[in-house]
Amino acid sequence: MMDIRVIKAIYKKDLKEILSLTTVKYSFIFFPVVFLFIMLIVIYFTYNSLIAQGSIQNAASAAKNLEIFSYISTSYLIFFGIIPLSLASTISSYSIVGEKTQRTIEPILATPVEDSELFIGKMLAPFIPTIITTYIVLGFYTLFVDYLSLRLGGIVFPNYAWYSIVILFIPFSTILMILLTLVFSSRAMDPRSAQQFSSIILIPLLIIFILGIVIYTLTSLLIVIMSIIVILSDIVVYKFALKIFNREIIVSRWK
Amino acid sequence: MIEIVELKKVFDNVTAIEGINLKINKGEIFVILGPNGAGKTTTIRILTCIINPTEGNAYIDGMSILEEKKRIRGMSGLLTENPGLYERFNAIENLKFFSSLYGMDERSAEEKIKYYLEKFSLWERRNDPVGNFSKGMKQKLALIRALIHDPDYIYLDEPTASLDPETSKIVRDFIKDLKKEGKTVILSTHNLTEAEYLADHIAVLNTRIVAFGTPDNLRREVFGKKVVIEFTGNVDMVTKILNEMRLNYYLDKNRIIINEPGIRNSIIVETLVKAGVSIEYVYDESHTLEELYLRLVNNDGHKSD
Repeated sequence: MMDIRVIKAIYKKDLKEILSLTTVKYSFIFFPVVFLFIMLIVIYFTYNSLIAQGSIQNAASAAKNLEIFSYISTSYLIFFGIIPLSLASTISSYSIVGEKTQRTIEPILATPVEDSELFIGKMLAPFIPTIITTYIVLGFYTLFVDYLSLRLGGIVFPNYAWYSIVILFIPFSTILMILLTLVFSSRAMDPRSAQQFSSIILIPLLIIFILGIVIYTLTSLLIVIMSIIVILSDIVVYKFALKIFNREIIVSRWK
Repeated sequence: MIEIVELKKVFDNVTAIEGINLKINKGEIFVILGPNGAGKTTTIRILTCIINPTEGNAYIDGMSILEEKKRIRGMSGLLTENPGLYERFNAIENLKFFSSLYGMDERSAEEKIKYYLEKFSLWERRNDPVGNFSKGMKQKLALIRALIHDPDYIYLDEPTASLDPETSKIVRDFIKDLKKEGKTVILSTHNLTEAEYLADHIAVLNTRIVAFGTPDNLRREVFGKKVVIEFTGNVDMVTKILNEMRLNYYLDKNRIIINEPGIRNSIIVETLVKAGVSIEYVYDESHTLEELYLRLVNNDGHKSD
């Protein structure tokens, strides 16, 4: 049976260690702030272009504008998947490589800690701050969109797509990113190559986002389908990652 | 007690250890000697349940390392070859983290941390990042980490490596104290003087056990018992007496070296004195542990990787 206190200790230690890294600290502040700023500007210009068309004089056209605004602002939700992917890859690569470079893994393995406790602790360390940061950014976006949509006569969020993104897509794609980074960085010898691995992982995921931009039809159904694919991938990669996270491999190859 | 039975470990077709059988008594200091790649660290990793053996088993207080891993880890403390500390954390943070992995409550962990940091003169530096510590300080901190949960079995891989002579002595004396407290210490070292000073039993490992026993018994096994008598007097007469006593000996100027005398030294001395030989000194010929170790490893012929 897993000991929550042990998982908490590993999670807290990892988080403290990771956040003591200047590059990680800056990436947690700089990237989300810039991203939010861009999203707010984009959505504001979208709103303004609708206003500029001058079609809010009658109720029917106002409703149409709200529908268009809702459609666009909902479609933009997919971009919020970029934040957790980027942050999680940065942190989790340090989480593993840090143990390697400091040779701290063997003393940990000599304690009564279970493999699953260690693994979950290591997963939570990048997961929790990443999710919190993403939700904060998404929260600002949601408030801003609703503030603008109120002027168009209604509220956009939360809608089904929003719930699907918040409850399913963001957490499970973050888990997938962490798992992939754990798998790749357990093979890396230094933070730089771990980062390079993370960048490689990001490429196919970014292609999906770019396709999303091109297709531009984000519905709650599509998000749910994407989330199911991500969850299935989580299960497959989790099993593989646990194999990689084998004590013998860790001790003999994590040098 | 630790009982090792036919222990074998193979890594990717490379045999690290093969067919090891050993018994380590509770409360003793057991020293493992051997060249690099002899399997010392592998043996310790198997006994601390970090890795599984390919074949064989080991029992610690009757518990199998294959079945009772968590309990065995809880009663073992390990000082690894590299200190392996979190460099950005201070000493207290490092120790608190590990004490929580051992399931210690916060209060007893704090008491132990204070006790050991003071004992090893690290208390004043407790809030400094470990990255700023000297090698010796890191080694001491890693040693504290191995002891923090009060384990019954303590595995020390090169405990005094990178320590200055004064601190080395503190650590060695501390290891002796651990024995007095009833702890079992398994020590892997290249420092033969240290091994000599500490060991109750020694095992010389070179992927398999080359020799095992107390230091004195091993010396006797390898070099035999030799008595040296330094004298002044007639060499021919001494030769005649020794021949009459049917002793296996050889002469080196005014020194007689007798192999396995078989009779008490006092009788030999008395006989010589009665014959008018003046005896200067009588002593057992001693061999250092280094000589013993080199003889054992060189004679073994079993190639380590």
